[in-house]
Amino acid sequence: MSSEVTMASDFPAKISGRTQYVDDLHLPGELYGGIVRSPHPYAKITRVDIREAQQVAGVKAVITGDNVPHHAYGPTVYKDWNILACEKVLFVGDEVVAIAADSRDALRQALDKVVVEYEALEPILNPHAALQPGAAVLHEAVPDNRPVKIEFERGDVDKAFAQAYIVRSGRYTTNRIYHGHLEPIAVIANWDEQDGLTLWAGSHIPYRARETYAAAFGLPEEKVRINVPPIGGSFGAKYVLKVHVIAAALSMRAGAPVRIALDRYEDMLTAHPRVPLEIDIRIAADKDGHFLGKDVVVYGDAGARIYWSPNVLASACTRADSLYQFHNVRAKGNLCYTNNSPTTCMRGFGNAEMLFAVENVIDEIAEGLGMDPAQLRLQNIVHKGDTTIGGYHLDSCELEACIRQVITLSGWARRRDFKKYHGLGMAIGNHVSGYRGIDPRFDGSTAVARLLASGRVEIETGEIDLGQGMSGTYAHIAARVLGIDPSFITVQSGDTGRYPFGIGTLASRSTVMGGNAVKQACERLRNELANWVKQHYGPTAVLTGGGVEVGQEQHALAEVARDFISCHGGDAFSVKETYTPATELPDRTLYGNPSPSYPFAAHVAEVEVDPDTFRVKVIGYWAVHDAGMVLNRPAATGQVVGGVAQGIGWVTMEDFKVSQGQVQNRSLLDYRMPGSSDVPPVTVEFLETEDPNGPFGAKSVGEMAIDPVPGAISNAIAHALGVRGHDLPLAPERLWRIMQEQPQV
Amino acid sequence: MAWYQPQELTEALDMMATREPVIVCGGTDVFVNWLRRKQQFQGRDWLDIHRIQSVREIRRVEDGLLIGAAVNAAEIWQSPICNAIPSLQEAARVVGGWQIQNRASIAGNVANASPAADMMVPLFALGARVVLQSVQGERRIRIEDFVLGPKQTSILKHELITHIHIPETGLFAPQTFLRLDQRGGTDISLVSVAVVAKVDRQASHVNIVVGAASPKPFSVPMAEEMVHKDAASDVMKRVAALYAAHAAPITDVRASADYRRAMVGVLVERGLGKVLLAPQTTTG
Amino acid sequence: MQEQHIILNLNGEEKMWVGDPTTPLADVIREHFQLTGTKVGCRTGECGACTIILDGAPMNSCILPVAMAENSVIQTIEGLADDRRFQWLVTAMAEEGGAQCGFCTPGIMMTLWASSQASHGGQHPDYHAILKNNLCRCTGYQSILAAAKRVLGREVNAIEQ
Repeated sequence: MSSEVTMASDFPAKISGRTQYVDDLHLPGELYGGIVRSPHPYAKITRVDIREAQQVAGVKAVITGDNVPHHAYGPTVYKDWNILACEKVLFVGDEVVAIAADSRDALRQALDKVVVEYEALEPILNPHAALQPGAAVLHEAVPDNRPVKIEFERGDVDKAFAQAYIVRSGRYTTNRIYHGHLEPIAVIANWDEQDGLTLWAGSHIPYRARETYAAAFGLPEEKVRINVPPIGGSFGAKYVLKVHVIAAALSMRAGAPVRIALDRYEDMLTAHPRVPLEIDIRIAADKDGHFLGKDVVVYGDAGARIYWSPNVLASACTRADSLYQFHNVRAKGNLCYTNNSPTTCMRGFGNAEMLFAVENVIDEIAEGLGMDPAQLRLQNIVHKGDTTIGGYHLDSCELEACIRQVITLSGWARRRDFKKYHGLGMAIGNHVSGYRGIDPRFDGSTAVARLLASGRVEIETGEIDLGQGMSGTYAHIAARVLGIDPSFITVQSGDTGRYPFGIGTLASRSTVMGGNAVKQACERLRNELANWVKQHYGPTAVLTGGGVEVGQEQHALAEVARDFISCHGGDAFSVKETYTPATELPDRTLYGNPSPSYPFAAHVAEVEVDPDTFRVKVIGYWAVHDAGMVLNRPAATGQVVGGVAQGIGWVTMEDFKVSQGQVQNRSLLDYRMPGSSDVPPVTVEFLETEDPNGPFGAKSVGEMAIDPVPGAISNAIAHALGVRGHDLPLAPERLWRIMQEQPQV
Repeated sequence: MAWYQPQELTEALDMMATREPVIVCGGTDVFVNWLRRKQQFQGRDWLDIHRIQSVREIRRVEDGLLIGAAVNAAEIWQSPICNAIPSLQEAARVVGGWQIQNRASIAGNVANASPAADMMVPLFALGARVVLQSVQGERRIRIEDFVLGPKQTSILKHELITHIHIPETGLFAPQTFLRLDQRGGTDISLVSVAVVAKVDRQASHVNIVVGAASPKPFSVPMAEEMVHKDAASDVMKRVAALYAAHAAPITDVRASADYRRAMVGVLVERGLGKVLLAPQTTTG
Repeated sequence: MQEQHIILNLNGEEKMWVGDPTTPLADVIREHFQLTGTKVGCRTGECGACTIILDGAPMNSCILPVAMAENSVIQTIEGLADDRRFQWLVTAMAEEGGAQCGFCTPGIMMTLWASSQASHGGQHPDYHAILKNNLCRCTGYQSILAAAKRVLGREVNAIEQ
């Protein structure tokens, strides 16, 4: 193993089963909480009777919409959440009554004894139905059921298409994907008059959760504290959740800690999946294959409430414009309320969805022009130094080199000689390393660096490690600045009452945002310490990695730390630094430079399609990434392979099947995620150049990993079959149907 | 309600005579149902037979093989005796994953009579008999007569499945089991087929049984008769088409009836090809 | 349900447990004996996070009634902590990046460990088949397979000698 390997220090504990997730923790006197949920997608509540439930021995609290606060709140600017439903339920799984009891059995009995009567209403099940004149209004503040409408044009799209030699277009749909976190959602909440509300909850944006939950109860933020135990997978599922709020409300009523742990069935029934998008797209090019314009119309299904769907729609409408030079772009985006379970972000965040459409259409243009699809991409991509049509400043960009390298690695030239049912497909992608628009008020990250009495250095951050390797990366950065071994660094985070504020781990921001903050803090620690040792040990004292040298004399770092502490009333040497990126808040048309840096990648997938069953087997995969300088190689590689595996699932098998607002495949057997034999060996390569804005030149990798995957695999399937699928997933039955519909030769 | 775990079969049969316990062999299916729908089990005792030695054994007997009710899938694919019936071993290898295979019992697979049950399909093709015991005695019944439909069998109130008997004719015969999955992880079959070529002096006769495409595994005798040892590929295609035509698949969350029906044809043709075109196994 | 006294051989120690015999072994292990290394991901035997080893065979403890585990030897991941060869697997997993969120990892470790103790009929183990009942959403399995291949099977014996 090379010296640049930084092993995350929590690995041995995780691997040996010593890591404790929320449901492994217990508080004295805790109660079991549970929720009565709506079986209807849309209904009027005509009667709620909790009297019998209250009589069950062991029941400590029963709450309904009538006895919880009703503040307008929500995790984004759209304040459409409640704590429990009052008059109407808006989706299957909407929360109506919650109960806390001192045993699981008592809870189960009490939940069964709650009587709720409904008058079913005609549900709105897709965005088009939501926009029909006369459709029911799901939220009074949004009379047209369309909370978000995006509309922009850069250049003159109609003119570009009028001049085009070739136009390819289509309607592409992306489906609901379940995040598939192996740890079901769980929370422990405890209310205390003095301390306020404390939650133990897996949230990788805990400060936004704190703000949201405080608003739900009309509390000042300092009265809410969120502890984040290790998170057993999220991919976007564990941001800010109603279950947390309901546990808090139960704890307030019961006066005791309340645990709500969903089982898989409830986790799936109530899941907030990837936002399904319907994308109408057309791309124009001249006869030499230079793109002239791109035009998209997108409809997104937000479900019954707003989580992160507006941001997903925005990414879908814009991000690809900074991958290719389309010259003229137009987008119309519509996000609609429906009576489906609220949808939210998932790794790839709208960008992977749009790239599925874009990359397929580009392959169709290549076919139309008789060009190599790789060549067509090469001549239309963005480059270092560009300011894209969307306003992104590309201070680093190795996209061209990524494409050239993936051509070599994958043996792209083999493509010409493949027989039917054997395909090779390419797709490329870009992403951000943090996004300025997440919080209009501010962006950046804060870190504390502290020299402990033991000589170890502790880093505090507000960002959250959810297994992606953030702590290892920060340890690497700190160690590099301080000239000490990474094993002497401890990274702490996950307690809003203790660690500095952080926007959180989303938008692939932890490496660059938090990493820059860690770097700045460690630089300041090093510089201030270097000054202090001169004052303390004399002007010849020099700070080195291992301690201080004064002539022939050596002082180990632990000794220096203790000396400092002795001179400062017992307090450790500690500094705090904030990194604020030089980014721009996107304007109303979503134009601007929203991220300090942009990663790129080029992927190639090789597939075999069974000529009779149409089961797709991905047999080879090559991923070449420009992630800037790679600071934590095992973690970065793991992110790419994991992202590819999720993409394989997405394209070839995964589908959250919803009928009348109800998830039909509510088990890990019927919701098929890839097993080990579904993932081929994935070749991952990083083309490393320094990005000027990243810590030691690093850029992000987490979401970049999945962005090109749907495009690459679907292009490979199209190459194998000679027919293109437009609707994800391209599962065997769908492909079989497509082929049945082909005219027989 | 109590949990009984007898060591002797007679104890179990005595208990069957007087009560209606929930029978546990491996318990994978019944226990998941119990966790989800406890009220359906109200007031019933549990009879765990997995400690009864006589139903844990696989034995070569004079007229075939006797597989104990509580023998699990992993034991079947690991058993050298079961090398005589590779179609059942292949089915045992795809039931769930390793963890499930270490518990899922052959009798549970048969007693549940799920249309998608894997091990049942080769058992049909092998002409297996279900051995039932009660305090009144023992009876043997052909598996196709035992399984009536989804979750329905002809078991009598006080009877316990103690063994599955595989007749001599299927042992070491050319055979296969194929299943259509949708992923490499644990999956439930969309369609499955078992093909067993019966070895007797008169030459070839094949049993072709299709699972998951009708209320219970089915065969089409007319089509089976069409197959001869040197069956040409167009005959196999016609046989496959007949099976597809006779299938009565359902549409559910896993697949549509159309796709299942088409896949019946695909799997039958593949299974036939695999058995008839493969080098013949000769002796035992 | 009638309560029952059940004697469990858990990680080499005899333990008495009293309660409903249909309680899932996973709950008994996690809540009564506070061995939380066994994780519960689905309660239907599909994800493998709760894998324990019973008489040498890996099983899903979330769907195993505790009564069925009586008179068997139960190993949980905590029971393997002191095993030197298990630690080699831990190290290999850490070095290969075989864990990310870590929730599925103990179950995968138990399955791999059971496989290292099994004979596989003298064949080289097929890790895809072995891990079929273990889902991992983070890693894409590649790093897990790399760690398994590095440490288990014949290589273990080679290191021993």
